[in-house]
Amino acid sequence: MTARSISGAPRVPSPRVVTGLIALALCGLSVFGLAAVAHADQRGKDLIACLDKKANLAKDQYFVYDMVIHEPGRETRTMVMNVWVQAAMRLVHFVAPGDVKGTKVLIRARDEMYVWLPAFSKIRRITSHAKKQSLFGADYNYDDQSTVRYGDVFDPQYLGEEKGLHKVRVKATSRSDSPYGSIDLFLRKDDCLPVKLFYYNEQGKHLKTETRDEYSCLKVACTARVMKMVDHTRNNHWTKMVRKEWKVNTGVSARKFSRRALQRSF
Amino acid sequence: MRRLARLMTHRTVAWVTVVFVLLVAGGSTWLAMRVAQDDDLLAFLPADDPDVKHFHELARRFGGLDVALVGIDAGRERSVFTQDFLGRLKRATEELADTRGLDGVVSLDNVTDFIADREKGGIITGPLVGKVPPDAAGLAALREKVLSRDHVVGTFVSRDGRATLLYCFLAHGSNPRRVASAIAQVVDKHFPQNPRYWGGNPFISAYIFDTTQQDMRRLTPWAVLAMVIVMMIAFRDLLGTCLALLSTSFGIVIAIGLMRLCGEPINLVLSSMPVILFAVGSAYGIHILAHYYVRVRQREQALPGEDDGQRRAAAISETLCATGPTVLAAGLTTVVSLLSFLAMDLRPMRVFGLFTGIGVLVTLILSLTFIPAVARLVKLRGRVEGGAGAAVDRVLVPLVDAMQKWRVAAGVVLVVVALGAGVAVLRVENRIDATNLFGPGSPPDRADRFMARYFGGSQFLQVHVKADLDDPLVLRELTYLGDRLRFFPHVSSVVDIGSVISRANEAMEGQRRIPDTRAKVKMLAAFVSGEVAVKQLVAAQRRQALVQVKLGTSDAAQLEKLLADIERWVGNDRLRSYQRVSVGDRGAGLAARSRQRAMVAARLRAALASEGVVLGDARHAALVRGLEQPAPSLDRRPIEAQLRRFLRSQECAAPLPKTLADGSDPAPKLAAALVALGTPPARVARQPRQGGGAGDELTPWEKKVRAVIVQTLATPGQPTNAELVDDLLLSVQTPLAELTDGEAARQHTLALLRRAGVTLPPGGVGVRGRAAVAAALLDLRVPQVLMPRGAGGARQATTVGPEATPAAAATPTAAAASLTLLPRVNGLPTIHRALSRSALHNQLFSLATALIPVILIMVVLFRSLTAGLLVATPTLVTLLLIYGGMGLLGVRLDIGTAMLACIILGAGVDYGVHLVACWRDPGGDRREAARVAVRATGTAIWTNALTVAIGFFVLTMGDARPLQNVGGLTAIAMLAAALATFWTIPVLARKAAYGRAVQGGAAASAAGAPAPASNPSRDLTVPSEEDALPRPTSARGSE
Repeated sequence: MTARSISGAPRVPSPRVVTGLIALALCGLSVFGLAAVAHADQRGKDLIACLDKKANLAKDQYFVYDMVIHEPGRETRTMVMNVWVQAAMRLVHFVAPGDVKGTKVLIRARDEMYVWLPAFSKIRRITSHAKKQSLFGADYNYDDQSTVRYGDVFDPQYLGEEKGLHKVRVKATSRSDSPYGSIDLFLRKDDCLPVKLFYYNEQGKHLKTETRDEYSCLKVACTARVMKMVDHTRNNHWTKMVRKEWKVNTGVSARKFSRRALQRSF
Repeated sequence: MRRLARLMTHRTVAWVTVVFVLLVAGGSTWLAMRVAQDDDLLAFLPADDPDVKHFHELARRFGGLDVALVGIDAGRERSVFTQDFLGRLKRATEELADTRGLDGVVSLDNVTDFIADREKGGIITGPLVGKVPPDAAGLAALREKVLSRDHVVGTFVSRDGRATLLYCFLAHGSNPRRVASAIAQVVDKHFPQNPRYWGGNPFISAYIFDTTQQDMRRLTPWAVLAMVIVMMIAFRDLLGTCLALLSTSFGIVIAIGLMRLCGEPINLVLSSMPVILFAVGSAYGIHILAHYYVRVRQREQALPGEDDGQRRAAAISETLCATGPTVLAAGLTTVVSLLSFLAMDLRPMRVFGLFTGIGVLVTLILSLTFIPAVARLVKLRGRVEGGAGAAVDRVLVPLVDAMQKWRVAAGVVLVVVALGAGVAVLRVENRIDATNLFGPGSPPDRADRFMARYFGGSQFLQVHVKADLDDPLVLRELTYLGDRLRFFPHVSSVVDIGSVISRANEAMEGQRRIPDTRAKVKMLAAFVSGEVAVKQLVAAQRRQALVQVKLGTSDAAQLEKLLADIERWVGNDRLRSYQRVSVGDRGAGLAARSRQRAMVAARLRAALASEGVVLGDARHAALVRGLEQPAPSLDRRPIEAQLRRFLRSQECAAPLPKTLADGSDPAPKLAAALVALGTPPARVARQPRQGGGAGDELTPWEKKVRAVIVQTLATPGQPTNAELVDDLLLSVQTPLAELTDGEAARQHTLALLRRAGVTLPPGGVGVRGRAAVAAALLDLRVPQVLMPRGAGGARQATTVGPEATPAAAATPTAAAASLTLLPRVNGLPTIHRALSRSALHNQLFSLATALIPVILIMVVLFRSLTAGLLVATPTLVTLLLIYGGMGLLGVRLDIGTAMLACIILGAGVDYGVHLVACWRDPGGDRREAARVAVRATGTAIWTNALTVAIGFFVLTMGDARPLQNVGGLTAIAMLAAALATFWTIPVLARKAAYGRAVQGGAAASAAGAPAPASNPSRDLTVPSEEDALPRPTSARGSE
């Protein structure tokens, strides 16, 4: 309804009023926008918190994986490894093939990693700069294996829905020391478990794509049976991890994740 | 030809022909625009050559062609060790690492280094440069540290610190040109002001391909324009010239369209097809039109009232009957010459010959069908007045007269020149190297010079070895091979998988040497397998390896000699077959010890040389003598200090208590007690142990160690912490043994260098040099070596037991006590050699394949063997002159010049055809016959020679070296062919007329002669009497 003056003639708003109204509208819009962004961030945080919680419900887990490394133009290589996980700690024990048999990688924290080489009877520390490097030419690097809680390392931002999945972007923080600039996670709506992850560098270039398929649940834990990491910079060089065996809450001792244990058989 | 002539006079047939040709040309254009492009330069290698097969196999296995090298000069800064430069290098390296198509990048920024961690223990594997120091002192220290690393200097950074080199490894299946471009973009972005150099196969092939393509795109229009201008000046017929060019264009698009239909991509050589076709093929249409104009003019003068359509039809008929056979023969010789490329062993050249031949054939057919059809439908009126003809005649006629007058003298001169050229031909070198592909000052040449100046060269040879590369003895043998190759002339460095395993072992055992057990080698090999550079050294599940030999010269002659020397040396039977022999003091053992010392001596010399310390023969001999003397007695104090540090490091898995019951630190006490035990048993007894520490499973040495630990940690009144004792037992044994061995080797090194009078420079170089010598000396303790079969009593070699041979113990297959190394040399120099062989083979085979059919066509055309040989002679003389000239000027045979002979033969023989076809005097006077022929064909032949020469000469203005060679030589060859035609034929011709088949009207058509109307007598003398008379009834059209 148009505002009218006392005389009945239409009241023409002064320029100052118009400017004020526009400014008010812009403020309103920006506040709304900021609120939306804040809401998105909160939504992202919630989803990542949900993911981290889901991924860490079990007290410990034990896996046997076949790790298949496919390099275009070369022979595909398969390794077998046993993996123990307890909280943020992880012990990877390679059991085949012969040349890597007995090699163990112990991750006690994101910045504390060791490798045991049986042929040398030695423990070697893995320095932080090597986190971007991979073991035995795989596409999973040390950092991929050491990240168990995204919320501790990245700042999340909700990007909306895509193909029936939540899309959350997590950005590396200054404290994260991550080799990636950001990761786009596509989470299932019902249980926040990721089915696809896009890895980007700091310039936003898409480096790798990870897919996690065939989720199944055992006791309180749900994990993918098949995980595949494709490195696009290396002409789609890929590594696939296929779960062959899985146990949850085995009661493994925390001592298994010690340096002493690395050099012993328990 | 008469049937074709009759057919083409029908208006309906003419319409159908024009429409059909336009439709086919349109369809072909559509197809031609969709033809794929093949930018694979490796396709130009002779696929069946054994060297090339080996090269391809190695490239597939090791990816040797997939390394792009980027050199960056510090420029004004004069040093790469500045904060700004290193910062930019870091960003560039990171960006390149994330670049699509690259498997990885290794540069000064991310090359790894091993340094002892004095705080936490062990050896830190980290980036050599790491965080860039902010101040000058830090940068100076960094510079000193980097320049002390022998595997970095001359590989990643120049010895003077002024230049750096990045190694970009392409992922399998990447497009080299695309990735090369992406790399260049990144480097240009970060180093816009610095001189940059692009080397390696991806950049070189991209350069050659792009330059050639750019040249062809840039120069083809100019070449065509130049040819059009020459034709216009000669014939003064815009419409005719355009029509001839149009039919040639149709020939080009139809040939390329056919390629698309056959699924054949267009290759680098085929990009020169347009210029060749325009130069060679447009002449046919011009010939037909020129003769047609003469005929029309003659009929206008003879029959002024004749119907225009009838006149055109009759002129077409007469033209085709008179000129057709000659044009057809000339065209067929060119087609046959191009088809002779099918005899070459290079597929792209065969494809080029086939489809360019098809293009010429189509152009030829269009000249005899499409152009007459257009002339039948459209009123073409070219000028028949002579242009430059009179001037040419004024020179040529006296010349030919002189040749006839002084036949003997001219003949002698001809023979002398031909013989001289023939002798010079023998000097033509068929040596191909990089200079055949790019010229001085070109980007690859600049990169080559940059690499030679700062990084010891850019050429590599590879010695391919098939052996069990998990065997430490094999790796030592490989290193021995490399250590001796290192001292061949022009060899600047040698890298093999043994050196990589040694470096990785430095991170494990603290010594840069090949470890002693198979298990260790396998584990290290697995660890380094992910590194991109390693893939170029080892493949096929570690059963094949390449020894990369960097050469400090690009000179073809030096490379050839070096290649031959290395092949001879590597091919020596003594290097092919080995057996495992235990070192001892008698018989085979003594020979084995002698060989072991020789290997260590070679290692010492090579290791010191790579640190920049080159030993003279006297010093080296002193070192070798020193090896025979016993090592000095060991001072164990340094071992104690090092063991103490280990016990307090994070890598000691057993948490040693901070203090003992008496308040003292247990670490020094335990270290002293352990060292006091003496030297641990030989490495043979140190098999890795894992698991508990039950006393009854321990060896006597382990029991001693355990007792020392228990005694040191004992607290009165308290039970022993058995778990801690066991952990310590497991933790300390390996470090104790390694520290003892290392310190013994260090002290042996100092004594050896002192005795030999070798002084190493102070600072990092000296430290690294001593460490390298110490690592080499540890090899003297290895109980076995490989001996060449049949050498030094090796027949007495025995399979030794595990006690004496840890390697054998860890190697089940070692019982066979025999293995074989199969070294074979490969690399760019071998490819150049294969290309040289191919160029010579192709030259000879294609020439022979072309020559015989061309002479046959001439014989059939003239129905005379003599005439056929007479026509071919000028071309043969031209070939001698051109190749003789190449011999004198030092122009070498290559792929491009191998094309030359066939082009000269195909295009040059036309001149002889036309001249001999017009060689005729009814009165039987040879001199008059020569004059008639010269007047009829002189202008046309020289016009054609000039047209082709200018067209090809334009190609010399480009940057592509092969095009420059082919363009320049073809241009000269065409002029030489024209000159040889007017010299040779008048001297050799013994008749007043040749060949019934072409005599007659052919003469006027010769080479598109305009037969100037200003000289009516010439018009009447050229066509035969039968053809010269207008016969309207014979040209009855269907109008």
